[in-house]
Amino acid sequence: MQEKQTATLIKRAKRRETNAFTELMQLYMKDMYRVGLAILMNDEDVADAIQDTILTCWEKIHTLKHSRYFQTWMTRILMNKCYDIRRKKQHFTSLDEWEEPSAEDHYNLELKEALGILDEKYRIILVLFYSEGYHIDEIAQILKIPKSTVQTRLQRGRKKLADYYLDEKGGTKS
Amino acid sequence: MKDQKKNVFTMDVDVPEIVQQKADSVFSQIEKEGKLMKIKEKKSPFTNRKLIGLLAAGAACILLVCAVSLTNDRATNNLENPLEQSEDDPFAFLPDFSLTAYAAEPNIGDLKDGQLMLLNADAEDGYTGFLFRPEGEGITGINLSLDKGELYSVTMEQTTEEALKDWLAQGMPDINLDDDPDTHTIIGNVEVSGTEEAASLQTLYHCKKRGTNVTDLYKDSVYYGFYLPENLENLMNSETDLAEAYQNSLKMFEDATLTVTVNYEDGSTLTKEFSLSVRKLMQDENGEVTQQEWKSEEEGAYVYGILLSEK
Repeated sequence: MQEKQTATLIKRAKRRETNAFTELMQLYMKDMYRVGLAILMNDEDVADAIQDTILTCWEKIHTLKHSRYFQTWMTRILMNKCYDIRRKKQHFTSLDEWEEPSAEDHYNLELKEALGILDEKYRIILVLFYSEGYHIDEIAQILKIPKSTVQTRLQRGRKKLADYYLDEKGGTKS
Repeated sequence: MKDQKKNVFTMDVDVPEIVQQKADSVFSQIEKEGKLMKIKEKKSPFTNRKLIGLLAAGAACILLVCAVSLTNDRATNNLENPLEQSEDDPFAFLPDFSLTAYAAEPNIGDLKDGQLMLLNADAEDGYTGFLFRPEGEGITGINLSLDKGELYSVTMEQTTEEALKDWLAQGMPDINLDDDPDTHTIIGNVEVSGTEEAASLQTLYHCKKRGTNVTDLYKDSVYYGFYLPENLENLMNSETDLAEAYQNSLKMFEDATLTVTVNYEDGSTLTKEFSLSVRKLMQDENGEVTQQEWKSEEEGAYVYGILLSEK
């Protein structure tokens, strides 16, 4: 039922109905936030990436040929925006230009803690797999990496998290 | 434990205030644009032309302000064009590149993510024959830098043994041996082709020293390699032989860092760093190279490899 409602919203958004578009993007706000956080790791940058993504989706949604690919299409736009922001930040060479994480960055600490344990290449795969529900072959297509790489990184990401939680509880590693 | 980490990724999240605020600001701009468009559609095109003109100008201004404030100094990503979906490829292009080895052995063994093992192609003097190149979609230019040792670029030319003999007999025309000390042509080992004529193919490696920093337009026919600046003979003494001198010289690349930056069609760039380590790899009885570390003469022959590991 929800899929049908989403499909209807997408169709209406493609017809430039702003209410439908706004409702559609609100529906995916949390998904966008998780994916953005997996790449950028701070809320302020994620906010900028999502803002840019919403605008680009509005501009380009009329080009979306198949509504069933909407979430993937939107996720790819978001990931491109995130990588743009990160590339810009990598150009900062002066310590004076480095921005400290916001003092008000107190949302979703448990998720941030889990993501903070992992390298970025594992974070994005775990989020796409567990949070977004993509299959391994879909993730491979999104990230343009082989399926075997996705599987390996998923496994290694899970192991790193498992080891971390074991250490937290004072256990021994498997 | 499994449940704990899985729950972290599936549990509900709170959208931070800053995220919602910025999203709301875009939504209200889009809403305004939508209202203006509706007003425009309702009015007859033969009346209130002035009002339509003003509203259109107003909409254009709003969109311009919106675009300036949102994009700021971020470059427009032209890669969004490929997001236009087709049946074959619904997924957008995500810029990336990888390094590819020239001499690839099929049974090199398990390498970890981000690792590449280089085996040497034909080598001579300081041109080690450990060759690689960046590969990826949309690359227009590259920059390479190495913090230990030097780099060289190489293009290959295929010829036959017969043609090569003629060329050598003529005194190797087109190759000015004395004019440019930074260039060198290596005549590769003969490879027997599978053709009925049983002609032997030979590869000529046209090499050029490039120092520690290289900037080039991207050409997929060009490979890059590691160059030893010190003459091997200088490393030999009465207690070493050529093989030992070669081994000692390769140690120069141990823990070196290779930095690779690629430029894309849209003006964006991507940089990756790779650490180098020199490995002695076993050869089995068929001459196949494996990933296994060679330990002693009892284990048979070995070859050198340079392992690149993405940092």
